[in-house]
Amino acid sequence: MENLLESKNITKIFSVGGLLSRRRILAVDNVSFSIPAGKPTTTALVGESGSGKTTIGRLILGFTKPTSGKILWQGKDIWKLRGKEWRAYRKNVQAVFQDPYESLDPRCKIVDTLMEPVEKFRLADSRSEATKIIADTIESIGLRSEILEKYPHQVSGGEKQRIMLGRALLIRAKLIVADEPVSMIDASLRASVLNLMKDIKSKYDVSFIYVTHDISTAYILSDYIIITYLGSIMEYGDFDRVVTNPRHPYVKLLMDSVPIPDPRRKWKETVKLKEREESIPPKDLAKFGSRCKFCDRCAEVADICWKKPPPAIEIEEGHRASCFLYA
Amino acid sequence: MGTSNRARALLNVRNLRVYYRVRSSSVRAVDGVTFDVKPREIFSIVGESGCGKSTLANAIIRLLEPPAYIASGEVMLKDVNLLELDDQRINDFRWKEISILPQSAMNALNPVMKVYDQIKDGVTAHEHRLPDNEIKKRVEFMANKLMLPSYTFKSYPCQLSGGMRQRSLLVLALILDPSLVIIDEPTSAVDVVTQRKILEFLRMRRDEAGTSIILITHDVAVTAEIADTMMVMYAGKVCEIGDVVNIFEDPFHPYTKALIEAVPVLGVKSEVKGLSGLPPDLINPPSGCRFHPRCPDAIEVCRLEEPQLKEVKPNHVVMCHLYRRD
Amino acid sequence: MKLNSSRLKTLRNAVLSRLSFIRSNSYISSGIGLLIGVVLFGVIGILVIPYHPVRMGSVPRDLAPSFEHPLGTDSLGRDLLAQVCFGSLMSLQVGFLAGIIGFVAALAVAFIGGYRGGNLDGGLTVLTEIFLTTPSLVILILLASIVRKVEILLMALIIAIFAWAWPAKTIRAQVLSLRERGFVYLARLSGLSSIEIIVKHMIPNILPFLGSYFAVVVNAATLSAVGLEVIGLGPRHTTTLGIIFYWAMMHSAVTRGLIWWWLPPCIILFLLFLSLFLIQRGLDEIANPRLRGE
Repeated sequence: MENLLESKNITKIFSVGGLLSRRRILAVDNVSFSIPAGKPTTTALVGESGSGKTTIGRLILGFTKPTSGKILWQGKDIWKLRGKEWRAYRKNVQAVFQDPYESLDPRCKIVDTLMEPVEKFRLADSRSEATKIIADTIESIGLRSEILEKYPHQVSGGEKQRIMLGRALLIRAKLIVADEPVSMIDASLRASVLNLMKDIKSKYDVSFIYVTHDISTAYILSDYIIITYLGSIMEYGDFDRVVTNPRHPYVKLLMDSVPIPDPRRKWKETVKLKEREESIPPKDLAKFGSRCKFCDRCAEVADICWKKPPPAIEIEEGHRASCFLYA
Repeated sequence: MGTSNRARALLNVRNLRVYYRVRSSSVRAVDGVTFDVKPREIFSIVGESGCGKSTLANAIIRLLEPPAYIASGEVMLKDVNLLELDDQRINDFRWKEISILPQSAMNALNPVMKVYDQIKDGVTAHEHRLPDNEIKKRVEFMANKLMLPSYTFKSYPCQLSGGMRQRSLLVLALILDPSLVIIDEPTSAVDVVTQRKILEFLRMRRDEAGTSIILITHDVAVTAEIADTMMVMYAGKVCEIGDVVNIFEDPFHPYTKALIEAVPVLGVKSEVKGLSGLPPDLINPPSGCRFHPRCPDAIEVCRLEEPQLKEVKPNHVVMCHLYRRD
Repeated sequence: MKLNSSRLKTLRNAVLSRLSFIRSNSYISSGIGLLIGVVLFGVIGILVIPYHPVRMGSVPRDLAPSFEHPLGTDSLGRDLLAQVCFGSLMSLQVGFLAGIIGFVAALAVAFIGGYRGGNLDGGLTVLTEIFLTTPSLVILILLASIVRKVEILLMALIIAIFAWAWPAKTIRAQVLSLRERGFVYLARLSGLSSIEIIVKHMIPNILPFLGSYFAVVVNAATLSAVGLEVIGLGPRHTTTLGIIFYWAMMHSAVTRGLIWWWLPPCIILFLLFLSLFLIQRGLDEIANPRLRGE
């Protein structure tokens, strides 16, 4: 069975600046991963700012075109799709954005915003039928249908994110890219959004790509984890395995640095991680792309790390790390 | 906090009320907050958006802007009431005895000045007696401990990452060796490893230099990592104050319990718990205990009367009717 | 989607609520009031005054102000009050026509370039910059003097050639930031086409800005028109405030002390510019709440 979504060697280079001072930024470098079909999965895409995770999200959603490589939806290159096939991709791949206060048009009532995809994807035969299925979906996720007549500023952040999830459910999307959906919501109010994501996944067979820098919230939702750094994948695999047994030096450091809400378990030694020596972004793009991205900061760096990009090496089944230590 | 501790405290805050003037009424952002900070202590103020923690921080160091104003209360730093000082005198205090690293400060750096020059400017504005080579020495010392590379201070802010700018400002806050530093959400915009560097540095600062730190955060896990004492705030009021280990082991206030249970833990795959409802309107807060509309354990009296601060264990106070003297 | 009474009612309520907002803003209401005042002045004048504003020799020349000719008559035998009333309306017409043509062109350039991006945007930006930096008055004078018979529409077109550049640049800046907003991306995910997104989501969210820019463009266009008219390059066979002033200068009205000839057009022009400025300032305040002092 082919994969639901596959990213094949995607690279994205941004050209920034005007006529006289162009800079090229290597945001995503030769990234490949896949979301399997057949069962609903959540894949966490984890990285700090500048890691490329947001750009990967945008590439998957078709908001920007890869400089090289392909994004395949059910086996077909999304940039070559036309007509019905394109509409199927558009309908099935939806998103929840980070800022709930920006995601909804402030001049439209909630119901009007939700009506648009219903009309565009022809999910109802008449307006009254459309209104009914929208109301039904809103109630099925635990919100009252009165909320549909409200404007975005009258609705809380957490409710807005749930409405976004409800919207994807309404459209019957198969894949939802959730970009930091709870980072702008208070801790005590996150549960409703996170639990809804879990529900949608199990009850409606929807897969998620959960883009975040917060590994702890990713943990309760995710089956797989991909850790990126400066545009490359460092480690990739089953979430539990990667978290309990990280192999890549950067990932080891990351897992160790996640603060634990238990005052009896604190960090033992001081963290040792050099800063990057070059300015951001690196000037020589070609050189930058042809070595391990972490080599200038890695405590276990070897000569070869400076000369070639490391391949993805299988550590155990379903767990791969891109590091010469394991070659 | 018992009176016997008051004499040893570095900072005493008593019944501080900070309001915002809004048209004809007031937003009661901080409404009667009392706590002590001892020397050589990391005191964490924990709460979610709208609880008043940033307003509290700015009030203590007298950096409030209108329409905010201090309605009542006292802030005693080493037996001097900071709220009663005039502008000239409070300027002498700031940066030398007490300093602050405000929220999102990393965006407040002057983009057309090199970082080192800005630090030097900040120092000379408050202490002209410090010679240049001494400034340089202190900057290098702290940069080393914060693992900032040498090019940081010679650069312009736009050439540095968010985490590096944040750490540069930490250097500025600590360079005159104040006995108390207030740090407001230092790690919300940085990655996990930089966050750890900053927090470990703060811990080291407390141990080696004896600096007390008021750490303001919404992140309960960060509090668990480095704080000694924590104070939980909700809607402008204090819920609970106590030793971090004690509170995590046995939280008394229902809101404290909810906050702790809302944090997912790596390795524990349980359902995330949360609170229903939303933080209250602070112009017309709920009657009685401000948390009662969302409290899973609320009883009749919670709606009618505001609870008083009660000491349930040594150095552990709670403001909740569930623990009233019966 | 049938247009039934409940939808009409919702539409009416939406329009009314917008209007009440406008009424409550004193800049806009005073600006609109002033503009309406000038228009009424012109319209009533034309209806009431029996003299022809353009035909030369229709009345005795160089008469001082009197009850029959409140502003007197000019050296070409035309009633001045009739000219001022008619000319106000004509000046408004030229200004608004040029403004509308220029503004619509600007909208097209700004949205096509700003939304699409890439080389198309690059090309359009260069074009905009060229038109912005070229000394427009010189070119306008050149064009107007080459064209043999200048009529109002042609005049408006000529002025619009330069009037579109500034709003195109400013609106494009708005489009660039608007394009990145969450709800625009959401509309893309909902399958909306670019045109639908621009019309349904982008334009409604910058309407106050667009209104403000439009007022600026009309102002600038009117000014350009006056600039051409006072040197004799205005539309023929009609009169505008600038043309009245031109004839006044041609007949040395200032040195002859004929204040009732050259002063009234200046005053009405000033009132026009003031009204447009007030409207623009008021819309600016709506667009940018910080200006309200909140």
